[in-house]
Amino acid sequence: MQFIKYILLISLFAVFFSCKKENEETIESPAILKNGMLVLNEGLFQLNNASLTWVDFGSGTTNDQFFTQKAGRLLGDTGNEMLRYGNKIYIVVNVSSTIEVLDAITGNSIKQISMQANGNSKQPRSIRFFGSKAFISCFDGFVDVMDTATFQIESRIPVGLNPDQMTISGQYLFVSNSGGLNAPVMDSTISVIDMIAKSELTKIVVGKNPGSIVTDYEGDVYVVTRGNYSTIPSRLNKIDQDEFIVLDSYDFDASKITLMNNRLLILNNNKVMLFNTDTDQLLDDNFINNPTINTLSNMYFRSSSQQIYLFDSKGYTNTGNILKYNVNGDFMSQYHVGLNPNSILIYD
Amino acid sequence: MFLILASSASFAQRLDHQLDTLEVIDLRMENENLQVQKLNKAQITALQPEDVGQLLQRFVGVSLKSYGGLGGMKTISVRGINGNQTGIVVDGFSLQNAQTGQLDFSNIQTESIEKITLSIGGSQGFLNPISALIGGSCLSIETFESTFGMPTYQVRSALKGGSFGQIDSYLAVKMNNQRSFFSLMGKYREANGKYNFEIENGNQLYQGKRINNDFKEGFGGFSSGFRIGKKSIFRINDQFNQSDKGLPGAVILYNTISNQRLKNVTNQVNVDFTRFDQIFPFRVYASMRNEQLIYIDSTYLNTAGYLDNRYYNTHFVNGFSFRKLPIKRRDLDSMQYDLEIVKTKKLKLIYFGGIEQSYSLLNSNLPAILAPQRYQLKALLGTEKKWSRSNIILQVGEQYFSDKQSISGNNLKRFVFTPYASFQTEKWRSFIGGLNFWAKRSFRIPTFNELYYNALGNLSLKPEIANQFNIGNFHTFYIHRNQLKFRLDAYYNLVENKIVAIPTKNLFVWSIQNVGKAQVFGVDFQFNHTRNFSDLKLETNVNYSFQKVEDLSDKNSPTYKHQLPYLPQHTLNADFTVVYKSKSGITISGLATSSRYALNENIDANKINGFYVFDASIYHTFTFPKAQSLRLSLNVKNLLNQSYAFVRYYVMPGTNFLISLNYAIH
Repeated sequence: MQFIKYILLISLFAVFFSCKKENEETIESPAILKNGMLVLNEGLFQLNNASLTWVDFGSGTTNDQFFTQKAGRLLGDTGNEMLRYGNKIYIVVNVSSTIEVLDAITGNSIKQISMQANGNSKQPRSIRFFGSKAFISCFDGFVDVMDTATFQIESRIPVGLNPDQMTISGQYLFVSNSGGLNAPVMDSTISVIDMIAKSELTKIVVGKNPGSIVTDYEGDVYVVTRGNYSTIPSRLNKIDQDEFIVLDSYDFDASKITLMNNRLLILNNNKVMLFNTDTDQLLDDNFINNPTINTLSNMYFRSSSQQIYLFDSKGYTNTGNILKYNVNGDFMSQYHVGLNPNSILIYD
Repeated sequence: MFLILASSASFAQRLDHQLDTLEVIDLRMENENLQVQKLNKAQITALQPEDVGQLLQRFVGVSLKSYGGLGGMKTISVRGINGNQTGIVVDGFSLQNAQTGQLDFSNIQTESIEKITLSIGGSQGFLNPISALIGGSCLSIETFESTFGMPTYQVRSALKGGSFGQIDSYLAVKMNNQRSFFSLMGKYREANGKYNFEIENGNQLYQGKRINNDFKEGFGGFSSGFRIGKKSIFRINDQFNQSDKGLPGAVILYNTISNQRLKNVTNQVNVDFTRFDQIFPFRVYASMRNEQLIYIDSTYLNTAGYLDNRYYNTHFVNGFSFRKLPIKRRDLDSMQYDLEIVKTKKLKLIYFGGIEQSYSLLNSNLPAILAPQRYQLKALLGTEKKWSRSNIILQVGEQYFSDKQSISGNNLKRFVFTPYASFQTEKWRSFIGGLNFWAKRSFRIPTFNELYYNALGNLSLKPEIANQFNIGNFHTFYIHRNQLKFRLDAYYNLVENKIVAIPTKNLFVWSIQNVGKAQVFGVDFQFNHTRNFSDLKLETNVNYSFQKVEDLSDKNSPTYKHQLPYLPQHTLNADFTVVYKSKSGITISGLATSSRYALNENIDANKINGFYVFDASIYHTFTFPKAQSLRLSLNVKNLLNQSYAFVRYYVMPGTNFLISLNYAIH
């Protein structure tokens, strides 16, 4: 009898602790993309959780399953960049070592391009377009030239160590050779590629560990050298578009830059600074400083609507936010997206 | 008195008659004493584990993280508390690594194991080193090689072959006489680890074959013990282990390239002297452990085109522990160890304690690692009062550590007190059964990896403190010829400055976060049923563990009150064994785990599905004259060919087989 009582007691206990949670409800992806925002979430290394979020401005809903619903499969590991070129969207997936091509109207998957060479991953980082060619920086020391009609890699242009971010000025492609994987001895050069000849023209020596790089509306190139994260500080540098020489290096820290008209938005220490590219003067070292932003990891400026988008990565391990500001730095709205937001595309 | 507690004390069991009688009194409470779970040789034989990691998943309260089975790294967390707070003791000597803190349980082989014990909270083994007694929990292993045997020679050997190119051979020989033993052990195992897997990829199935998942591993050692006089034992042993493993990493979608390897060479030499005095038994011990780790990435995209990172760990420890028993020498002389007399002396207090110091050094070929050194001093003092059916234990532990790096000025010094109190009673009302209450504070020091790695070291990390509170209730029922044992524990743990490691880059590189504060509310339930017929013995074990491990660090964080990563709320394991004439047996065992999260945020995107797996094994033992035996066994793992993973995208193998032949001279 006591034994039975004991069993009953145990069973009650078991029932008490067995509870199930409901799954989050799923939202359908739109057939045609409009009035919304497509977000590439980078995800985290070795978790295969790069993803696309569709933010519907009309209904205010967000859908992190966009890529999976459109392609029927996952995006892969570590999405490093998403850009639209013509009627296609290109997504660079670094650790999976693929380029995903989507239809820019529907978001449907068109092609997955595997980026491997000699039994090793090329680890693509960034992509730029020139005519019918895409130029893809690959961490294994090359910029690949891909035809945007056939998706064939036509040539590999050797550059510096661990090429990273790129920008176009005229017919030239400026490539930051970070050398990040050779720490503490990083690279400190910018490769200049002639996109017509499809070869490296020269290397410009800048500071240590070059990264974020943009072209201003006059064609000059600004690049952030990130230093070694301790004794050598990060700097913003200006490169002459014709002479391929460093014109100036400015005496403040910077981690990322984005062009906004004749201004640079400079990301530094969880805030945004404002820099005038006409006068090369720092206009405001506290242009946007929002204490609710936990980890300001990237920015985007949309010139057609003159709006600034800031990416909050929430310590890189929690799902992030995208915050919208007007050109004066006034907060407008905020969207909750996926893990480590990396790039966005806005649809009217 | 003192022997009971000693989970690794059996070598002393054959000491002399007087001690045996003492032991009998105290062993009476052993099974239900404290929070002890154990597996003996016969149970291990029935489960046929590939390594200690796989055995640990049988223990309630343990959350195992296995990075892919076969040779893959295995680490544990006990009751939601980091595995670094679990002391690992083999034959009374700690295995410690100041660099990673966690031991890889896939590196501890199982053939030698006579008994494995997990004590949560209060570990009281007299033969356990002070560091293990102070820790949050203690895993204690007793091996064939380091125990006194019958006065003859003994042999243990095994030959195994199985799926994925598994080959395993083991040989141990032990020479015993009345006063000493000497043993030699060698083991080699390898596998190619090439198993097929399939994982969900959106609406599709992603199929592949695990590559770079091979390993080769060798073990060797000797052990020797001498009786000095009637009451003392001196032991010396050395254990050597060398391995070369592929690190397959997580399955990366669309990219199968994997070129990382980990090589490991470890040597540990131990000596101890133990005096089994009936009044003031004590032990002095010392160990020296050298460990070399080589991490190679043959296609790393740096200038050299590869990575070759080498780490050299040295750990030296020595200590002294004692137990002062309430027996007076004149009692011993006059009473000749009469049982009744010893019993009456139980009302008096027992004192125990000890002191241990250790020194650790990490060297590396990486310029960023500035040879961190650590000195630690641990002390313990406690008292126990026993009545015929119950006891109270009070102890206070102290840990001091001091760190320095050769160049940088980063010096850390800390001093932490770790008290422990326990009350327990045997069945005193038939329905209520036995009861035990205990509370313990323990702490762990950030590892060298957490503190001093340039790339990911976190100098603001604080020691992690765990406060554990436990209420336990145990019952034994006899119904006809059935024996039924129940044990139910409810516990609350408060972990402050909790350090959480999340694998981000690969197996060897972690992202370390001081999550801050966490609370664990849990329930452990154990059930055991045995029934003996004339030729048949049936045994069933069911263990269920519930643990709610909440992140309490920051009220404004999106992860506030979320379950911490890689800790399932529900874990259930069960096994059923039939043994016929003590010669043949069949075992079916199962493990089920509820879903877990790969990251702090409890959202669907981070969810790892729960799973259940079943294993089965069958064996038959042939006996021959002159105490020889030959056992043939077949083991099938993952019977239902489930696709599952403990760690996200570290897929486990499907159905696989292992055939073993074990020859022994007893």
